[in-house]
Amino acid sequence: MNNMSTILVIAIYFFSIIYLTFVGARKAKQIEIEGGSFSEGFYVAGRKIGPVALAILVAAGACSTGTFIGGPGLSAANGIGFMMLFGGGQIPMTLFILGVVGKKINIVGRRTRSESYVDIFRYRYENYAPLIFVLVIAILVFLISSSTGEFVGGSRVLETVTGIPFVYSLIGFGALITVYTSLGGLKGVSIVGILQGFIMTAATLILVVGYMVFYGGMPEIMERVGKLSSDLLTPNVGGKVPLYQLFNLWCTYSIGIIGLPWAVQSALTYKDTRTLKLGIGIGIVFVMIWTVFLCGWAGAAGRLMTPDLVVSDYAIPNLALGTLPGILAGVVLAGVAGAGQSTIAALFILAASSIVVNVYTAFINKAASDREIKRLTILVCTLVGVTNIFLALTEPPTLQVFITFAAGGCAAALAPGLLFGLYWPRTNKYGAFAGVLSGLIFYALFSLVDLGIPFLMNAPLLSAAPLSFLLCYWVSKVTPKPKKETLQIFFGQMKSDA
Amino acid sequence: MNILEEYGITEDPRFKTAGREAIQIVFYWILYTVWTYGFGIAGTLVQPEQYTYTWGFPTWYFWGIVGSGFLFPFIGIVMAIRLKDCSLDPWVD
Repeated sequence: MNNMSTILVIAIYFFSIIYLTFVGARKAKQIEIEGGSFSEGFYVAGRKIGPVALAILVAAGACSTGTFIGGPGLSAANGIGFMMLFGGGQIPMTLFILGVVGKKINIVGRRTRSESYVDIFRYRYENYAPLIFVLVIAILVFLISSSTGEFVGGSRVLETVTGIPFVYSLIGFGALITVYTSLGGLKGVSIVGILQGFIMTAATLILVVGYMVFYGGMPEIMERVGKLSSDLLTPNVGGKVPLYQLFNLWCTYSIGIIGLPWAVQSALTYKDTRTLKLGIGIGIVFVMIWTVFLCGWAGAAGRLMTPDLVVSDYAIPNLALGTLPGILAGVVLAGVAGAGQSTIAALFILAASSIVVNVYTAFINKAASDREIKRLTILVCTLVGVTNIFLALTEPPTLQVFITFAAGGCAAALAPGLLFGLYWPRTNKYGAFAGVLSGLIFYALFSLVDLGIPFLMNAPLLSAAPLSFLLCYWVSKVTPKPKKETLQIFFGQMKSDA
Repeated sequence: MNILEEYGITEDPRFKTAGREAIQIVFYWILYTVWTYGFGIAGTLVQPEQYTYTWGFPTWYFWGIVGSGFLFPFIGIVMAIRLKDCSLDPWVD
């Protein structure tokens, strides 16, 4: 069968991932033996990550099957112009994430020994239980949505390549990811993640050469695409999609990315500002290559390969199989599936740390042993994985709906507490609580319930975020000031005996 | 920073710098958005049958992607390199 070599490459890739993860897990044990805690080794890799690892941790953590399957699929369905206005703004994402909050989070993280995104909120807002509660709920809701999108994408790739029906591909893919993540931890994941970052880039370049050679270059592709439908040449599907809706998506995927906990959390892990700056730059290069050549242009080629596209997620798998010899198609699709893997792993780790470290050891059992922590981590990863499989069984029209819901929701619910918390000293725990709660409720409401006002449903971020920011501000102003000790940590100079 | 003055807290200069850099990045995003959506809107003002083409792409898209895909990412890299180095040491003693 023509796809045998493709399947073989993907299988070799998956098994390499598993092997390397165990190598990484052993290295994390080294950190434990050398005196760091399990959780510090597992969750923030001992705070010693270098620039390439940082770039890939952020970029490959935020870019995933959305950039490699969902986005190109929408580009195939609606045009490269549409895609530029939808997701083009994601290219400098490392600058937005690491440049806007990265330095401060790292320094404060060292002062407080924070190991997670939730930790930052805990220390800034005096461990206010209602806030932590809604925060963890919000993170879990959007994290599960995001990882479901990844599951759908990875499974559709496997389905296209192997012919195994979606449901079984889903279960196989899901089980593999869950095992790999719960056993490997962040250090294991970041070693593997570096490999995946390079494979993702190699996959992009191979596919680009593939479709350029097959179709004879972009001018030829665009001419044929235009003949298929002139809508594909326009920014807004010939007027069928209102520009404000696209603008909402642009904001969600560019500046809104600051809200993504799994991306921001990486700010805790780098070792110096040189790493930070190089990491941002390298990240921009990677994401630019993925976004322009794959998320954008590959979509146009994909539409030519599958002119009567129904489920847009299949555009890229079909394109790879159609333009490349078996082994190269395997490398490309392994890279694409790998994009999902690295993101899912980052998400699972966040779920685990949120619950294990921020709820369990903080409020329930302060003296939990390392072994208990490890076991609870595995439990959480498994539960999240199972939930993802169930949600993915709804077989959405495009995996992107899950990703957008997550990204927009995080921006609406989490950005106020984070940005105000870091840069406006008057922000207090009540304001942060109001921000998270209102952001979560309004965003979910506007996205999921038809209230009879099209703007709300078509632009949920633009509708919900102003409300959550405003509430965070007002509630902070009318309730008691935050404590001096807190502001000393987050804004002041400190000596080590303070 | 009224409340910091009230509490007698000296602001860490590294945080002040980080705040300024954050604002610069937001401005960068605004310009980025204006460029991309400027050309995007231009693409809606003309019927596709009347589009002109540059290097094979609809002209509105060509200039959009020159900015959003190449020019602004490059500027972003330059901005990143020019961020101010500082120690990440939590304490100042």
